[in-house]
Amino acid sequence: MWQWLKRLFSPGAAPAEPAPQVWNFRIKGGRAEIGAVNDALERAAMAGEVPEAAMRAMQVALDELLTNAITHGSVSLNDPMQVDLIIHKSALRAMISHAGPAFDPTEVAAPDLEGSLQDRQIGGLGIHLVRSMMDEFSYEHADGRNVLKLGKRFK
Amino acid sequence: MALEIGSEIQEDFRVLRLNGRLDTETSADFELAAHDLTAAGERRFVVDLSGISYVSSAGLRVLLALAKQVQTGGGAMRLCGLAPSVRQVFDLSGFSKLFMIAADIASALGNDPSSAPAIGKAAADILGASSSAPRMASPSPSLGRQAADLLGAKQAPKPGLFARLLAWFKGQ
Repeated sequence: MWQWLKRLFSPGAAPAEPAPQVWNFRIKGGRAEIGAVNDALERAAMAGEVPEAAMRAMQVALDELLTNAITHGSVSLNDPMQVDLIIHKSALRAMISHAGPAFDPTEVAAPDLEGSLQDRQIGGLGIHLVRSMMDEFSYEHADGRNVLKLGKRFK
Repeated sequence: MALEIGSEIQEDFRVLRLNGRLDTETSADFELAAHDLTAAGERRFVVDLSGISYVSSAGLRVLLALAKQVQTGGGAMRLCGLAPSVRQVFDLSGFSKLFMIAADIASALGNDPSSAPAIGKAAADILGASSSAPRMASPSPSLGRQAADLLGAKQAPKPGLFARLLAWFKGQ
């Protein structure tokens, strides 16, 4: 309504791209909290216009990376992990920031995907899924924190 | 929804219907449920994933562990009902070629590669055709099939639409 009124009273102005929606989460170390982030993402994506495929890919990526951070990082009550979800008009983005020793998951070697049922191992598969399913996957270590950025485009 | 696990016996399979997500948080629940069943000696499973919204590597790990255990014990494990995004995870991780994946429970149950020859053999035995019969130096490989056809045993690996509908009605 306000958008429409604003547009009505500012002739000639190009319709602005809708502002991205942002959700912030603080994770203190429980695995159930990862599910809560993914449930929130699902509700937000369903309410918006995010295609299901993009939303599911982001859920898998978040499950992998947040689990790694809780397992190997120093996520705690006093120093929680920050997760920002951003829904743009044509992309889904996430930024994860947590304390802990510097670790760059984008450098993890690709796993061996061959082999029989009995030979197959699961190591490295999570990061491989993130790399394969995301359009953007970057890492930096800043101010003593590991910062990961994810992006999935759609449309 | 975290994870709900429905469990029932269909034919000679333990059918597990999963509902929710199979991720870090929930895969431990599935692992426990599967452990209870294998500890009780069950070795034949159909896992219906049609109610699963996404599977992460934690879920893949538990499915792989169950499949390894079942295979070692001479059993069988089949998956069915993978949503497109779940299927993508299986494809990307190379898991699609490790598992027998069917469209739905009915075809997962009907697609038993070991039962079709058994029916044919049983039917051939009934009709008195034995590969040890003196005059049959090289038994016709199609004999079992013909005998099975005579007895009305369906050999098609995938049941037809009618059979699947019937199975579905039975399952209700």
